[in-house]
Amino acid sequence: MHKFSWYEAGSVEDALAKVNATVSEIVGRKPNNSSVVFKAGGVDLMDLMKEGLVNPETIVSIKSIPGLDKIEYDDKAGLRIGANATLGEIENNEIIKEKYLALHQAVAEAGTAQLRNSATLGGNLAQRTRCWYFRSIHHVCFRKGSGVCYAQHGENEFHAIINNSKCASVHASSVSTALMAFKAKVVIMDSEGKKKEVEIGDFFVHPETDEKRENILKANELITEVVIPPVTTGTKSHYIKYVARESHDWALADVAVTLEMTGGKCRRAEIVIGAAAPVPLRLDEPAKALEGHSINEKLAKKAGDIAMRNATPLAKNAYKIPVFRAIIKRAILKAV
Amino acid sequence: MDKKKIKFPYGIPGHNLSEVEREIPADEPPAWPVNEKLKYVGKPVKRYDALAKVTGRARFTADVRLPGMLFAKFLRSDTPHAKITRIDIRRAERIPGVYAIHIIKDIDGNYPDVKYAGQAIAAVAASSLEIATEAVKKIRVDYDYKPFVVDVEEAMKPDAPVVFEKEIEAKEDAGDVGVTYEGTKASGNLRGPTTSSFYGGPRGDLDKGFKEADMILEHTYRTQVQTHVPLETHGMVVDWKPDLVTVYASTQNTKNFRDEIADYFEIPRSQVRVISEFTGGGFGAKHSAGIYGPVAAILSKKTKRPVWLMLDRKEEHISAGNRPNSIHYLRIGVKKSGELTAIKQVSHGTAGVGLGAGVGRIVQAMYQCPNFTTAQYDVLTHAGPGAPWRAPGNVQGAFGLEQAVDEIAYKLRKDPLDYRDIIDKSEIRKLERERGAELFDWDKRKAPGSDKGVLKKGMGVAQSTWPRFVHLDSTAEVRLLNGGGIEIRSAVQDIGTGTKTILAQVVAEELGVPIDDVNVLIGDTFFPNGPPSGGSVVTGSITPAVRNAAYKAKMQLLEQVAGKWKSDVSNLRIADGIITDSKDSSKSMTFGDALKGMRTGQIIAVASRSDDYGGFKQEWGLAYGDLGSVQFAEVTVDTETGFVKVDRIVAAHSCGRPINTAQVKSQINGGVIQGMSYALYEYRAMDKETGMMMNTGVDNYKMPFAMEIPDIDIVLIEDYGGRSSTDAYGIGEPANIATAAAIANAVYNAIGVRIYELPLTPDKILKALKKI
Amino acid sequence: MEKIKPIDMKFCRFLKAKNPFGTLEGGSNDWYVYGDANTIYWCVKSTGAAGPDNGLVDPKRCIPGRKCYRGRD
Repeated sequence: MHKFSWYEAGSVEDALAKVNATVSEIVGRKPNNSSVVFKAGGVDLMDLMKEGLVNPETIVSIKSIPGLDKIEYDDKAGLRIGANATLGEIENNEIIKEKYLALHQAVAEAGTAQLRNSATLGGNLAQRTRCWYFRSIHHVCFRKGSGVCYAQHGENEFHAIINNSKCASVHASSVSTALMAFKAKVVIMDSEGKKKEVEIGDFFVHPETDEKRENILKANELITEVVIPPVTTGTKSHYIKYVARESHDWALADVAVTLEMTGGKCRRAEIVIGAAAPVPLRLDEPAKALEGHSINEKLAKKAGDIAMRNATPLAKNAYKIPVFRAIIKRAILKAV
Repeated sequence: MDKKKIKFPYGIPGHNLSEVEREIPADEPPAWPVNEKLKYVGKPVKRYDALAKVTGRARFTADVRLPGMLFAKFLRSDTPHAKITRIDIRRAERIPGVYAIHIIKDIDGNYPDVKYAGQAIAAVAASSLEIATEAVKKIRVDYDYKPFVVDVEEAMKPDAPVVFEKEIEAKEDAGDVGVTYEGTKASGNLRGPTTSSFYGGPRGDLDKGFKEADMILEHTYRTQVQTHVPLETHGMVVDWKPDLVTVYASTQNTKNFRDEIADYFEIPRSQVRVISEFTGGGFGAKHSAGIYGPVAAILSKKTKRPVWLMLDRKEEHISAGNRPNSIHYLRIGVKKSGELTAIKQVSHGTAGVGLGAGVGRIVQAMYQCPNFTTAQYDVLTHAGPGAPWRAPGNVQGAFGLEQAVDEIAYKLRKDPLDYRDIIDKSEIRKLERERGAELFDWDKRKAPGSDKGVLKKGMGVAQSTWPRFVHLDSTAEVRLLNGGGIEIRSAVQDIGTGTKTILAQVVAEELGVPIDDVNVLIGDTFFPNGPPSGGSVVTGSITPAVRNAAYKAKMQLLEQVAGKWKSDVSNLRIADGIITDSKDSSKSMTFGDALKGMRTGQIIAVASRSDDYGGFKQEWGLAYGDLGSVQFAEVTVDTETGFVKVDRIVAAHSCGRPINTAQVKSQINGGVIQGMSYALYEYRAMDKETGMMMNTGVDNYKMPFAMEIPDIDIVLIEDYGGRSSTDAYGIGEPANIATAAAIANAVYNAIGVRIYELPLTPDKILKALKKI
Repeated sequence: MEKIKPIDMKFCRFLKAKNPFGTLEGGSNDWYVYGDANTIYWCVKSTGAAGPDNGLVDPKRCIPGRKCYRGRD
């Protein structure tokens, strides 16, 4: 790891005034590049620095900025989670567990207890893909601007099965799968103090739009909080993370489902899957299939089948198709 | 040498225990009774260094800090096959804090050919690890890139890039790229076949055997490359002084480590001292000084400072060893009765740039079959070299054999356990099958694939054989110190298996003193040679030596006491630290007082492992009998997602006289977990396009954590043979051999489809179920 | 059984091997190489599976005549 200097930011404004690059912008840049980047929990940044993929000159720690870790709930306004709230704090929040079960489940299954105590929500959303070609200093892959996706014909067992023709990486945040199902918005503040709210689906950037980034954040922007609309009393949700190892693993496939139920029928549904494509994927057609009906196994199965209709698996990851079919079906049935 | 005849317990308590008379050297101790009648031996005694380990006080190699010490880091190739044309170290040399850079050269003074991605090219010693790492990045290497092959099947093709393409230059003979074991010229990347082992060569008449068969089973089984992940990586700290080179090493073999360092520099072996106070696992890959040993020593010699060199996890995966993969073909002839008439075995595997990718002797040795041949081929590839790993070859071999035997049993409509009673003549395994099956509830096993619903449960069994090896270069010294103190000294290392504890138990038992009074000083080549921690030889080799030494020291002390009491040494007894005279109840003395009354400052006794009582099967140390094991697995398979969960393992084992039942069980737990990890999770993901291993992190080289560990119940059978003064053997390797095959058989029982390839990932399960 | 005595084969003093029952010693102990496909070989001088001459370390080849060969005396 290259040497770096450390700056402890006292406020969001202070931090934004210092930073001059996003972590994604400095991937592949040689050391001594006068770059200044944010660090929240530091979980992902450390990994990138250890591999030598990023070599920031200065790290601005936002971890101790006061007030950025609040979790607030209001029946009308909904849930607001500060970007610095740790996954552990979110996991242990009783209101989230009660009203946003799928989010609680997704957070509780992320990383390990130790990682969750360090990792923040903002950092989780802004982390880079775990694609092992991207993570390797020796592979100048599509995401690093070479136009070559090694995963297309290489070791692609953990890669994308949908929208994967240019870059088959999958987004690493399984928490965002659940956030998307609850239609969360990401609040971003820039260096002039202006705030904007972005639908989380619009926060992530597909590699075909811009291969070098995974979200819309610019160098002079910082996530300050995530806002989740209130849920109706009839809203049910469920999240399933499918992994090789239950103790601690990256998702091989995950799904979050929210169902607004009235009179035994599904009025509205949201189905979001992760580890399927380079960004978390909202499944409109399968969700539509549920709406207006009472949920049963046959219908749930149908939703899963529709979801995988357009999958384009690579040589080693076709197993994800039956897996997604199964977990989508199960999550729908569990949610009811 | 004087001999005496004494009787030893023989057989299995609760089954067939009897006695055997053996003629043994006159200076060796009397026979111990069965464990039940002993005080320390055979008991779950607390680990000798438990407190040091859990408090962090234990000093591992990476923890060693010496005054003025430098830190070293390797530069490794990032291409699998190339000729290095130029190395430019000028920018690295200029970095403040860099003390020395060593560039590896071949016999002609050229840069060696790069033959795998991750091969060491040079190393830097600097005042900190960060500076050394930075300097490594500043070294520029120019390569002349060459085509390469990392896939075993690709490497076997006639037009594949050749790993050892250059002819070996010979002074006397013509030389070529290599020879097969038959003496013919090797072609391309293929070497072999090996057709024999220390159990012998081919036997019987294969054609005749297949003609006699009523049924022939023929399959090819495949296993993956698995890389060693000991908690502590390879490494050492070397302190080169003109008169003595001191090496702190993470090693399974202090003696060999010393010899290699001395031989590399061509200095006397007495001029090198290797110390391994604690070693954090090795699993077979830490027998050599490796490349890091000499390189660290060169840097220390050059800089006149101690040099610290530990591999990081990535280096460990790519360069420090692996279990070779296997493509294992079996053709087995069977009679209606179940008797085996012929076995033909052919295997191909790759140990990367080295040899040793066979499938072991288990197919040759475990079952009765009059006609047998094997042909085991090595396939060279541009990948990191293989290393021994917990029952080398036999784990791969068992995966094929034990699935085949399971399949034959089902085809013959026999219970897989009953079927083994027909073809397996081992008494110990028969009992392990019986006792294991009872604990496991084997009778609850259902027909294959018969579970209704999405989640299907299955039960499977597999078994193993492992030779009882004894290493004769195993010596221990026992010292009794005037004024108090009992010491054990041997170069033998404790790699985490509990060697220190069992040595303390044996000496406490022999001397009749509390176990806490015994100090164990091992892992230092200034002490007498110990055995390597490999082949499961340690317990069977060093415990008799240390007992014999303790006995000799005790007899010297008791002679002195007897002299004082005007009694005869044969009348003296020691129990609970008190010496008494069986002929005179007024005489009593604590062991501590006896030590204080010694005529000299110390009594030193040294003893080595003698030949097995009754002789070896092979004169170099292959003992009679085997370390049989039978393991049962219960799994749940999710037939929609392909997820396999191992619910339960029952492991039935024997290792002669168990010395520490808690540690034996720990070893079996570890072996089962490692076997399960091999069955379900671990594999080296090698990118064919770039020749690099992709999963070198702890997160993506998947190993089990707490939630993955099944319930493990152990049946431990005491099996006495009267073969040494402790009659004990190791357990490390037997614990690991059968697990993957047992799990594969359980998966078959669950889903009704057999899978012939490891690891049993969701991908393979779903393919077997035709869901993909 | 294929059993090769080092004296007969005149193995190079730097040839090392580890087979399932232990590390076979060059020099100090009389040692045997068994025709066993699970024996790993390495060279003390090159510290790897490729010898100092870039050829394969192999008991069949680490014998007199090879450029990097060194006798045991």
